[in-house]
Amino acid sequence: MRTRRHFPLAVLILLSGCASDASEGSSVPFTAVADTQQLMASILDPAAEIYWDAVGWIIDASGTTEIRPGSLEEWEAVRNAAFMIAESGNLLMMDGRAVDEEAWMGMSQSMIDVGRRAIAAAEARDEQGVFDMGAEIYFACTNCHAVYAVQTLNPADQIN
Amino acid sequence: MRVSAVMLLAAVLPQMVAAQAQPATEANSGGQPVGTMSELMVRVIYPASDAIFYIATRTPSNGEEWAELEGRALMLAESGNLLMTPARAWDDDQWMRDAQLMRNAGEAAFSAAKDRNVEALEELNDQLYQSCLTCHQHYRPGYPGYGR
Repeated sequence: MRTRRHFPLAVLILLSGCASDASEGSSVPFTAVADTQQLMASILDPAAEIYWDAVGWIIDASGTTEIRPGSLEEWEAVRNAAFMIAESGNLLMMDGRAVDEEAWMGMSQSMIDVGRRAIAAAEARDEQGVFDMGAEIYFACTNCHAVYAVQTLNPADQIN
Repeated sequence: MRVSAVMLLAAVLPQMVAAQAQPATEANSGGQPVGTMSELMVRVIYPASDAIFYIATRTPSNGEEWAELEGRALMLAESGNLLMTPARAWDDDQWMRDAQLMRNAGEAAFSAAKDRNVEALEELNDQLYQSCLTCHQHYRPGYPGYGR
């Protein structure tokens, strides 16, 4: 009977121990190799450029010129770029890079979500889908820049 | 007294269970892997490591190519961090040490690429290869030397 009376408290103590274990997991030895600016310049920008340049249509007096990956290898390069875009969202969320726990995380999550859909479009070799996802990637970038790197949205302002 | 303890448990338990279901690390650890382990290897890490392994025959010849190599080296290093995220890490011990080997090799390659130091990149081949080999022998069944 005595044991039974103390059972709820024992459960509480056990769960407290478990909760403590979970927080100890935060000591994962992440080390950001590059700062956010370097991450953008060396990984995210080049990957986004590959994705943006993959599909397009040039319409002029001579007609329509279609830009699209011409081989399996080129489609894989587009898909790999989308993977880097998506996983970069995770890299942005890591300790050492995260600026705050709210908007920064939400916008990084948007990068992951958009990146996933960009991968799917590339895997399906869906030209219109890749083109449309290019726009979505751009919006994810500019939404974040508008809050955290507003100077990048209008570089001319830096000159003036 | 007994009723109080039960009420306390009822009040606190949901929050504690919620805390258990959502690890404290998730917010700051990049907790949502996009691809499988195989996809991360094939789509991201292999192309990045190839750029280092084949540096002698695919040496960058202009600023643009060097910048591309820098990006690949950095991606290699940061992939070490991606491997450590809770949803990908197989354990908190050997896996973390192996992932750090790759991050260290990638970081050194990133530095060498920034310096455009081909010789240093060639010398890093062994370090990078060993980091791959070590982890595969620990965690990839069927890999030569697995379980040694």
